[in-house]
Amino acid sequence: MTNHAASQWHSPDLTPEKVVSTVSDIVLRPRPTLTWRIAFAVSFGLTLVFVGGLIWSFAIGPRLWGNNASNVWGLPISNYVFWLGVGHAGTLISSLLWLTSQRWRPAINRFAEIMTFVAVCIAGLFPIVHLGRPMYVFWVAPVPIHQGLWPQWMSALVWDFWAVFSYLCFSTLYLYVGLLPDLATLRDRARRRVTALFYGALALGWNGSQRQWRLHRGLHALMSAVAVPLVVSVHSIVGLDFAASVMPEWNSSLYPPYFVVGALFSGFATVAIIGAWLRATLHLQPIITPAHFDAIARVLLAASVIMGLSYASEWAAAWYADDAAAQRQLLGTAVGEKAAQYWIMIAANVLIPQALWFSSVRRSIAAVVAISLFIDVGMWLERYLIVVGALGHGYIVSAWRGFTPTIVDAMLLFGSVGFFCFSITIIARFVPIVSMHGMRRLLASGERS
Amino acid sequence: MSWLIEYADEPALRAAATAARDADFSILEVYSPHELEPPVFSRSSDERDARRIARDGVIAGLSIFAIVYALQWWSKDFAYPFPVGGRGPHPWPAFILPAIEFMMLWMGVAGLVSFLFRTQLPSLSNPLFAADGFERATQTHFFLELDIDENGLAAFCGQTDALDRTERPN
Repeated sequence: MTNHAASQWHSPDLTPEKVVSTVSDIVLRPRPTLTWRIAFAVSFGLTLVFVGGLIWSFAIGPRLWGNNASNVWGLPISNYVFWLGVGHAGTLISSLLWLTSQRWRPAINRFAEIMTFVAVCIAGLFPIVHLGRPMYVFWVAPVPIHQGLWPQWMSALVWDFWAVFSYLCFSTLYLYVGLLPDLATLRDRARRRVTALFYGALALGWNGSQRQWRLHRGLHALMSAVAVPLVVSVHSIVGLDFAASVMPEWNSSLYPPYFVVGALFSGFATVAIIGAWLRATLHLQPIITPAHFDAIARVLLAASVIMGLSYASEWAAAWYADDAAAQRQLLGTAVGEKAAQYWIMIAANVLIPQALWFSSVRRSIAAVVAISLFIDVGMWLERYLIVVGALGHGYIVSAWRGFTPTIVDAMLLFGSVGFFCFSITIIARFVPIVSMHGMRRLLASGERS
Repeated sequence: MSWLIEYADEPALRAAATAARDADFSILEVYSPHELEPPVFSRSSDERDARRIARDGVIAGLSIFAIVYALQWWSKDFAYPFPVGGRGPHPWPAFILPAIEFMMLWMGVAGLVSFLFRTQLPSLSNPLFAADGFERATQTHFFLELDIDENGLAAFCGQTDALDRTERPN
């Protein structure tokens, strides 16, 4: 490893002192920057829209949405699958890059993990909202209800609860374990006693001894090794929500891996967007470099090719198996009333990312962010078409129904995007958004070489 | 007597550790703002306990797998038998999924508990934090804790580019 190779992951004049001051000042600065305040104000406005949509939905009920007797899942479940997909990438990125000792990890892993935490929390809200009677959500937990009846263990929806609950708890712990040394840095840099006490309590007394570092590494190795199969299994189980049903097109063994790759795809795209946003608003240019976007773009390109193959496999499987219902379903989506959404999805997820074959595009942060925005839109449309397409056009022709989203559906969708941005904005003021100890180690390894 | 000697960077710390070994001073501990790879000095208990964290996680995970699997089986077939949809007793493929998810969660939880136990954290009132300048150990500087007398200390600090030294508070 040459110094040049090491320094492509940070600006050449970056020093450990500069890393510590840049990252910790974001948290410890008494007054936030103007860009942070603008981001806070805009995202807070959208969060109010989200809260309004939730209150309205809880007060009146599911009849406010576009759902009907056939399209029983509608936008709440489309949103759930989309946000869970976004949430699945953070821990996967962090753990995979840790296990493979990737040098571009420390600049992006922290906000990717925070993204996971926020996105999974938002995803978890939607099934509760969708219940219509959210007070009964505990019925999926392993607690017998008043009749002594236990959860239906053979239901994919109960597996889903266990998977998402486990994933949320695990991802929160994973985030916290990585944060411990950085919380100690904040404790020791805090100028106000109350701040030092706050971060001191969170840092648990971390002192950076060799023994603590060695055991911390052992714990990180265990958690990273567990995180990879956990992520894959959780989104496979979300895929089973669909594949274990008897709806046309859904009842396919393709769904679990298809959902995992889709989750990785939308998650990496969101990491690119958040990375560019934080880089610009929090002045992280010396830490998050165009090389990071190049690396993310390569993953996006590979995932887009796999997504294209998955879409082609759906068509090939329907015709190879001579499955008339699946053929009708696919044709109905591609040339029917949802044709526009379908072809936007194909363009956004498969065609537009092909621009990433060119290194000049991969090295352009604006281009990578623009393509990532297309990918997120495309992946949301994919979830929407999967949920609304099959349910509205099942095996019983007399039960076919269209689906038209309502204003409350739109409030929940766009409001959740605002709430996501709001949460990231708030967390960036309380938690180091970049792994300071990881960056210091990266810089030290460059010096050694 | 135990002293904390401060260095500006990792190469200076490593050179000092080598000098300490050559002079037969006991290295008690090293404090650094990032993980040092390879470790500055070897201590078998660190390696052993790092492996034990993984072992504890695996044992706890497998135990939870068995407990969750048993809970599902007991609740479905014994506590409230409720055969629906022609499904037979003991549908093990369905039971495996929640059991695996909880197993992985508890591997992480048990690993963290084991880590905290073995590093004796939380330790919010560690006397180390009263040492002058020790707050730099979590930022950019490096500290070598040596068992050394005051006479040897001055000479050692002079020959190893030490920035500062302070007696370790007890």
